[in-house]
Amino acid sequence: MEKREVLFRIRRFNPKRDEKPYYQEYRLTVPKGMTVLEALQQIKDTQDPTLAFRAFCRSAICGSCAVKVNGFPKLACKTQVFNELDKFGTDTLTLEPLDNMDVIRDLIVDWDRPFKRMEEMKPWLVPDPEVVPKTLDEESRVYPRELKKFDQFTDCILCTSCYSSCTATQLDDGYGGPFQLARVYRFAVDPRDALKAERSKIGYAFDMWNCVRCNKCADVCPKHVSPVDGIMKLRGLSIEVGLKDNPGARHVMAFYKSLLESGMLNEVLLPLRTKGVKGVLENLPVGIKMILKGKAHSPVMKPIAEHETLVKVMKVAMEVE
Amino acid sequence: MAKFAFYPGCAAKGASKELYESTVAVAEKLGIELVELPQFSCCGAGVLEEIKEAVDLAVNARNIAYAEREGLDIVTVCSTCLLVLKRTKYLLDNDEDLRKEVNEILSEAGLEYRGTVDVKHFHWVLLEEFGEEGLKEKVVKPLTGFKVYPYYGCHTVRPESILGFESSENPQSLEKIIKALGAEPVSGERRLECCGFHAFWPAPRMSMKLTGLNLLDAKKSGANCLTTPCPLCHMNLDANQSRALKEVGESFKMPVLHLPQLVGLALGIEPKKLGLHRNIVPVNC
Amino acid sequence: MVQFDILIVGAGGAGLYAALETSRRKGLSVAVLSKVYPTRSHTGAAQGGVNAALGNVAPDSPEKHAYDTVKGSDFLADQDAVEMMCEMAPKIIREMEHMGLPFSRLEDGRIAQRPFGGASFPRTCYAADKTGHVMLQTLYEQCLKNGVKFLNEWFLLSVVHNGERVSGVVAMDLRSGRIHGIRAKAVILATGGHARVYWNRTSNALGNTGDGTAAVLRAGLPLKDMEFIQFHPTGLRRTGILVTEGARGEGGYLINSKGERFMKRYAPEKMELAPRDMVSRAIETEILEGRGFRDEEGNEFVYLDLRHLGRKKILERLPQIRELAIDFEGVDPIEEPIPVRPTAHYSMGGIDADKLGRTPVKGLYAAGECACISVHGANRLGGNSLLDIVVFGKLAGEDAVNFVSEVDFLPFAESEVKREEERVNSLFEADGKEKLADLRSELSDVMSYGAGIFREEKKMKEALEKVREIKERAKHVKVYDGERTFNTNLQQTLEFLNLVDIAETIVLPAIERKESRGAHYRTDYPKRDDENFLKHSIVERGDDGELRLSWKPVVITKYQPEERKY
Repeated sequence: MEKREVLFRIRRFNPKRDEKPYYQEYRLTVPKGMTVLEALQQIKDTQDPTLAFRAFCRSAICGSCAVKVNGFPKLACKTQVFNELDKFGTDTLTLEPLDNMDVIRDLIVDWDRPFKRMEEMKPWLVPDPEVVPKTLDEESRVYPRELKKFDQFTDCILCTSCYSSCTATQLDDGYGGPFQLARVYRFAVDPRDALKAERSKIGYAFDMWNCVRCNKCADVCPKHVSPVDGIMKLRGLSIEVGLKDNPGARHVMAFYKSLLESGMLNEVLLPLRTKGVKGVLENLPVGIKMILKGKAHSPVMKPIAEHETLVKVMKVAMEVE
Repeated sequence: MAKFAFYPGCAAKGASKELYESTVAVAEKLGIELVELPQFSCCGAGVLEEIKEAVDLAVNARNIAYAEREGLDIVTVCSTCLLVLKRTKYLLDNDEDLRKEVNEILSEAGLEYRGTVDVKHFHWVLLEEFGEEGLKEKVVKPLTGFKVYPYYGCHTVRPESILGFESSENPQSLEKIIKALGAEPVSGERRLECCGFHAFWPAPRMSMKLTGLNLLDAKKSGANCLTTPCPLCHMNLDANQSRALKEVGESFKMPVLHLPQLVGLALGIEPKKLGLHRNIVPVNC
Repeated sequence: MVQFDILIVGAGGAGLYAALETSRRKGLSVAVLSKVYPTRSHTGAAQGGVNAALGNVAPDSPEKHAYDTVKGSDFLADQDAVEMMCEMAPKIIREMEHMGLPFSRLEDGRIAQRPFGGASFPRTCYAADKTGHVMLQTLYEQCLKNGVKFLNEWFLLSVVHNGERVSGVVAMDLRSGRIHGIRAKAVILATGGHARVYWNRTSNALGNTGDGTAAVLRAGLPLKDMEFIQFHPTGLRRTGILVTEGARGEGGYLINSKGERFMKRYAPEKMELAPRDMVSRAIETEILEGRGFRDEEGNEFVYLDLRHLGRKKILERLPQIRELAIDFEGVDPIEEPIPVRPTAHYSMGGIDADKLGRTPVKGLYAAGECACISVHGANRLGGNSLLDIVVFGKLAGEDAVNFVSEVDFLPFAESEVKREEERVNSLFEADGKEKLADLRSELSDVMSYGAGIFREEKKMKEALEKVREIKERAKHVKVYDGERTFNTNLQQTLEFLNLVDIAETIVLPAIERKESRGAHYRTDYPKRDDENFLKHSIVERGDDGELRLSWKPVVITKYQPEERKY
């Protein structure tokens, strides 16, 4: 059985005692197949009982043990040490607490804020009396294709990996957060829910248009949920319920219009279509520079070849359920 | 030699025509045949998903279907186009029911998605076709002494489950190319961070701040210039550079090259052909 | 002192359902105390499903469900409680469905049901292979909706009562490390199981250490049927992590090294879907008789083969299992069979409680896996655990609401807090001659040897002696971490001490139960003996610290004991 000598650099911090975080090094002989969590526990058992980390189910379902491994959020329990070493071509693993949250001690972060935020966004079903039966003698009918719309989002284990890596969360205090917004979407398309697409207004109030689509949430999710997809679709619902007069929604409509007109994006008209005269003025200095550099196309665009097939598929796609 | 259906995307056809010019010049020099299909439409940059997923999938399945008709893999020079096309392919290849639904839509226009061609980024193709060594051999003007910041941004690496060319946590494709060109890749802490382009309209300050932070990191790392495989990142980093730097309380000039521009220089292509004069932040070669 | 009308300890399915039930009554102060953050509890790890005679796939009835359950229990379950549970099952499933639980569905939109071990019909409602996870999430969401108060990351130290009524608990806030008395008119323990006694090979979470059960034992109250531990047939080879019975429910095969579906020798009719105790013994027998596999590390196992189910079905119905097999065994079940072996899984025994969860002390309730009502008897059927927790969580909540409206708070002596502080402080002062990890592992080995799948008198007596020796040696285990904030060294030590207390209560009745019934299989008494042992074992700790064993009759309504054949 293959074994390797591994150096674990672990970020330690006890806010009650330490002025600032520091890294402590531990050496461990790691056999093939050993997970980061097993390594942490072995360090705790044999080298340093004071090392603090959370763990519970150790089978990737409870969401307790997410930590950063060489900079990226991972469930310690399902992450094999060798895989990470190979990925980074190293024999050192740096373990740190998740980002965007305060540290309570060592690898343990304070979850109160992201959970509180989720709670503010009404993450619960409000039964629709038209769909959910009044008595317990009957089930609501939910068809498999309806379930499919929100099923992946119910896989979320609230490990906060996505929240830790989220770009918008880092910069915008008012932002709802990836798993939180995805859960809003999950209910918005549950046929049993009374609020339905109206829930997108919650997303709007929590800055859903500020998602930068960096796709980190989708990339780090240990359960393969793609919160960003939920956020994009929640935006769509907001347009459906009439939240159209905002840059995000107008930007979407500008694309749609461009595709119908010529099949290609009309970049020249985009500022006007997205933000009106304000958009033009805000971007005027850059716009002028670009025109001078010969980077602007004519506002009137020639349609692509077989444009009619594009228009056809778009129209048909809009009609289908 | 290799032949591809060339999908330049709207940016390269519009505000970033220097990307189009440099890509075509580099491909020609390397003997990669790029066939631009006139039927290709805008991919929707992901925002079509915000209208309706079916529209997003149908539009992009249509794009791929035209390439399938030619029997050519698609190559694109825009990271967002790449992700949008790849995502369509990923969903349709892994979900029979969905593929059936989308094909019902396509059939109305006499088209069919079959899943027979792949979608690649231009710089992946460079590595696949030539490898680091092969590329090195093609270099006539090595960029010796140049420190280049390899700025990946988001959509060529994330999510790895869909893109799959390299690890999203430790990608090396840009570093390999930079090295092959004789330059030195600096280690950028923010090479995988977002430029904020896709939130530019709703949240311009946040978008500019992200770009500003990235530029600052490039400066801090001692880079002479920054290179990116994405014209949208380029737009924020280059065209909007002064505004972005203002957001982080800085002001300096950091040249930003489209990856094919950087490659083109090392291949000895003249700067004009690479459209370098179109870059907003001047590039002194 | 902090006080609540009702304090619920544990935030798994039973705790949350009790909380929901109490939150419907306005004006009560209720809190849920849990050593983990909400939705971390082990309910979330339940994969395959929850039983209810909905009859959506095949005609079914609560009576048939009850019969299967009683038969599965090897006739040790209390039949009145079983009947009540099975009768309530369809309604409570629909109640959760109305709360938004995302069950998998049939084409016509009704809840889908799959076959499970020991059941006469496809009766198990499921959400792919994440049923417990979505149940926990749904209940948590509804608790948020109803404004339930949570004390997150608090650790239960003791249950306080005056012999007649409960007066509260002593618990430690893990974040601050402070020990508090919490006064309550009613306390509902929903602290989960204790299969972590078998530390080295179990499907359980690291924290399934029977904290409530051990606290009750220390409080001088009775535990019931503790000798019955379920070994789930299919734990992953290396880690013991669970592979749901749903995998066999969907048609998976068990294969030995001769390539045979060996279950034909043990349960010719039900094959892989015989009850868990039988399947686990069958696997172990195959291994003992040399028809298993052995890897380079010396792990022995058989194969669970899903390949014939095909890619689509595996991805749709068992996606999590596929992922677990890939991540923890490096095996993709679409391409290769999964190496499995039985793993300690479920505690049939627990806190002695009646069918409303009431213990002998008024106001103290137990629900879920920590309780022994008993609806599972000597062997629990797959899919009945998620049902048990919600039914009896609900009932305990309801009864507690009625109880607290009629009584006042009892006095709560500060000395109770002091005593726990001293107990905890002494752990920092120990001499450190024994190491926590070593002793924990030793306890596990002793229990697997003496009180595992196959048992016999001599081995059990040796084990009992060893456990008592470990209990003495445990006094030398020292907590080295001197900080108060999130002292996980202290927490793991307290958890281990709970396991040691519990281990003894498993072995003692196991020695005295001189028969084989359900999960309790004795090679020296291979037959069930209804004449002498159709009764529940009761273990209590006397004032002298010694355990006392007694017996209690089984409630039989209409299902007379018969031979269990599958």
